[in-house]
Amino acid sequence: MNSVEKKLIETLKKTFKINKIPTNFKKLKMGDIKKWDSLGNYKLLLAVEKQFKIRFETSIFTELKSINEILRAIKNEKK
Amino acid sequence: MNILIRSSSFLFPDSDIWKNIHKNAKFVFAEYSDFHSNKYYKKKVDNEILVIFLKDIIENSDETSYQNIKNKKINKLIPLIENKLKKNKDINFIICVSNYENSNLVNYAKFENNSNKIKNFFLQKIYNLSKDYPNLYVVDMDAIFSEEGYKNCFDNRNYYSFRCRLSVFGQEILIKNLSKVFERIYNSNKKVLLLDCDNTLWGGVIAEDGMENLQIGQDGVGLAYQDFQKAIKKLQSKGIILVLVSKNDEKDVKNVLEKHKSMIIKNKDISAYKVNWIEKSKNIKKISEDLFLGLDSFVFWDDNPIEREKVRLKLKDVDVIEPDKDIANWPSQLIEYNGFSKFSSSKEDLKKTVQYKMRSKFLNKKEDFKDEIDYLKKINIKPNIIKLNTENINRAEQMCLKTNQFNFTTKRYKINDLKNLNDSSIVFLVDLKDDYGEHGIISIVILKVIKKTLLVDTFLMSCRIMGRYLENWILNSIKKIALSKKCTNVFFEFTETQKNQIAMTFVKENNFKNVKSNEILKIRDVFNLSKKSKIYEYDLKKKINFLEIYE
Repeated sequence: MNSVEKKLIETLKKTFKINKIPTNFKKLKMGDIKKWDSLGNYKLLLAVEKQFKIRFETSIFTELKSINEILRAIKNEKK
Repeated sequence: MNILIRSSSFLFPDSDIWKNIHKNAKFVFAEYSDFHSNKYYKKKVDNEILVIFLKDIIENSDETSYQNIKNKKINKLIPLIENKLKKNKDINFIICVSNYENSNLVNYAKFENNSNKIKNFFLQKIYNLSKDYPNLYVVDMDAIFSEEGYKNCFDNRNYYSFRCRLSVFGQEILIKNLSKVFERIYNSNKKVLLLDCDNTLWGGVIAEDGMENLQIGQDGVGLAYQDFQKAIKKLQSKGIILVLVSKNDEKDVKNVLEKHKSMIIKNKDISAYKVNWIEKSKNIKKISEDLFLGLDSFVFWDDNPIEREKVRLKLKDVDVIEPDKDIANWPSQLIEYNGFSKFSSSKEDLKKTVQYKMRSKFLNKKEDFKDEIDYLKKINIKPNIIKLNTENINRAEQMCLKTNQFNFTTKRYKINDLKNLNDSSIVFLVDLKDDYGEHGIISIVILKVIKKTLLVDTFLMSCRIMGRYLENWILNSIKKIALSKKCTNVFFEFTETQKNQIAMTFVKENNFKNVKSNEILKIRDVFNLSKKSKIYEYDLKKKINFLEIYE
């Protein structure tokens, strides 16, 4: 697991106030965690932006709904 | 504490940052743009925050001419707010307004931006309401956001994604400022500024440099000291009490304040001088006792870190300011300091400098006299009993609401309660003057007479005239009324609070008697009293001490 993934797990835990992350972490998507509804999703994205000091444009922001997509977007922003 | 939040567009609910408003707060978020529905009042609400972005309410401000504003949504909000205020007097309403929109400088080089007009129209109406409703507070969000930069506070993406106008940062800034408003709603402001002199009010040391060499008023540092004094003077004019606490010769300091032409602060602005060689903490404690003000209402400003540390160690409740290293920043540091800020200054606040000055002069002279009674006889104390009337009922209410120390029952009567006192009640006020000046109305007494029994329902006196045994004179006045009404028994109701030990001391020193429990029940029944209060009996045959002062 790389450092970006580790940081993202921490952000996920903090945002949804949970202690354990399922092992299939990379396959998680909106709806898989109790508080991860559409509102929770925006909350997560804003927390990710703060954590990684990046900013998603509107067109990307509104499309990110899974860990996989978020990881890819972070990678793109960090290039 | 429950806080209801309504907003014209989305705000991030359930977020940890909202907790920064107040540590005991619980939040309920109304659905966005729902300003009216009553369903949120089913649970108790203590505070309601209304966040209004005018952009959400007015579609196109350029097309909304000032004249047809009356038909618009914005104008309909005003009666809605007034209705809320009328119905919910126990709820504090905090109305936050912003009219920020991306603007084009050239378009508004010749014509005023319409949205500014609309905002001012709206604010004017709201401020008018706040005169009638003390539970209404206004927050101009644009003042906050412009300081931090609009571009940082607003976020178009958030708006198009989930209808939230603000960025995370913008929301944090709003919450931070709301917390300041809440702090002042729930805690009273600081009242006394304690100031050092040398290298604080002016540059240099008066005893070494002499008056003519002090740095005050000249370009550079001298101007900064002068501006610092201007900031102090501004606080004083709003009712903050100034006290000099300085290790110096009092004569030297008074001489500078009186004669130095560049001084902004003059002798008349200072309520008390503690200019001597005694430890500052001791001086401060003495002032707190003399003025009957708690140490938590004191702020200490001194350039000397050792003095600051000593005061910090000895008096934890005093707010010791850490002044900026550069004197040039002191004026803005004092202006930005939040402790003194308050929502409004009453006429009474503005009299405080003079009142506390009279008190400190009175006490200083009293210490010089060997015989206290001799001194009090000499200063021509003239109390006067007056009836409650329409001219003094405001003052009567104010005393009921604000007096904590010499107060037997701390019943917080409002104007309407006072107007509605029934026929069995006798109310009188006491007005006082002596050689130190006119003190005005400083006491209210409410008596109830039923079947030859007199009950003292309210007996309170302003602390700033303590030390004259006036309470004994008032007790004698109550006695005279009891005798004239041919009462056989006189009882005092007494409710102990954290602050009224002074009144308890008076009860003990004047031999008030405890009442037997079966008799207490009877009195409570007759006068319809709460079980929380104690009852003392006063023996009419007892001689009252110190009345010779008033002969």
